[in-house]
Amino acid sequence: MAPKKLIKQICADVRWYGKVQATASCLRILSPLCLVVPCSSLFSLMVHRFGVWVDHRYGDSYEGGYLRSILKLLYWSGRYISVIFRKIEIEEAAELDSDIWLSNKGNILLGPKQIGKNCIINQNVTIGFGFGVGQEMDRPQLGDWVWVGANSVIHGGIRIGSGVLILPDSVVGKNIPPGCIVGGNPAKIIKRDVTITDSKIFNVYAGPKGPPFPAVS
Amino acid sequence: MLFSNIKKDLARYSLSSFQKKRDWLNFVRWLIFAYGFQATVIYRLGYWASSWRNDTAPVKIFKSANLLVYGPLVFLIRIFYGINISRKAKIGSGLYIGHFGNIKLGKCVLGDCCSIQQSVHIENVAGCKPGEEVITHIGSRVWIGGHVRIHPGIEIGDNVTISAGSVVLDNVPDNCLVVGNPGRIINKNYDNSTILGL
Repeated sequence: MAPKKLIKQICADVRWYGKVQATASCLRILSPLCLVVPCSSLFSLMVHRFGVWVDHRYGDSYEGGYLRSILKLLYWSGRYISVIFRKIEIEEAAELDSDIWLSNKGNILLGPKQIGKNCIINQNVTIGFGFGVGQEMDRPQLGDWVWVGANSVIHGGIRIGSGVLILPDSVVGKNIPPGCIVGGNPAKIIKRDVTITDSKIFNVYAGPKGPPFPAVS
Repeated sequence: MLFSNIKKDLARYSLSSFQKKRDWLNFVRWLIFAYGFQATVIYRLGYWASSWRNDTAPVKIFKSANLLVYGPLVFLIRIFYGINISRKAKIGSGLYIGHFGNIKLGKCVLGDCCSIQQSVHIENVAGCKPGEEVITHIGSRVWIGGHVRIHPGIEIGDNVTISAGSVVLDNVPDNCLVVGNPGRIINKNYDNSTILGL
């Protein structure tokens, strides 16, 4: 993967953050500043994309020489800074698709197998291995358009379909079909067959100016 | 006492990535990301130095000087990592803290070889009058998952697994598996040696 693709990914992230946070257009110019100063979760996303690119480019072989060790040290120090300032840690093996928004308040531990497009993840969320649950020692897979509420735990080798709303303070340990609303400590499905165009339920996506992006059926 | 406990703590943090290829690079990576080890070392220093009242005069001065070193270090760790272990807690050797963030251990008693994940709250006061403190006792080889809250004054036995997101309100006997918001015992003979990595 050439550096051009990495730069395209980071620019797309910056543009998506500007849309979701619904900043005024004059302030959107300043949003690339977050790439340098760890004041928002954009910094941790950028560090993760950089780490994935370094792994893809140089991998475990010793061909890179000193350049590989310098880039890896940069990646680890960036990850350490994002832990200290924002408390967000994203594992190397996670595959994050485009257009993801992480909460700026932090305390997020992401270790899934993959996350789809257009997901919104709030603060105090862990996604990782599950113990004491049926499918242990495996990581979850999230689909597109998933809204994960605050203080929730998603663990085990489960699959969450697209268009799912996970209420805050829920612990999810089983597979979830697409288009559901899920909540509670052993997580139960509260409503089935919900489409994203149903604006009453998904007005969480709407900022102060209305939904910043087209609805998907 | 200090150094033997620290050695056993170090043994819990698997240096497996460091042992596969004995690189200086992998060692640096391990050093940077061992948040829990850094926090437990500073906790052990504080616990050792806070027992200065029962010693002779030169040792007293040495220990209270160490408390002055302990103060700013613990402040930094609480701000940056969010791991808050009070120096009055009695923790056995071999503690493993897997992640950063939102961990609060009050004046509790923990056994050997415990394992604690992120966002765990074990506090010691719940609406009591000042001076009456209720202490939780936790046994050895206990695995505490993420986002767990443990009510004060509870006794937990040995070899217990507490799954993620559970709230423990009753005493838990040995070898159990606890799940759910009022903590329910699901399995009375659950083997957690693979999870602990022993």
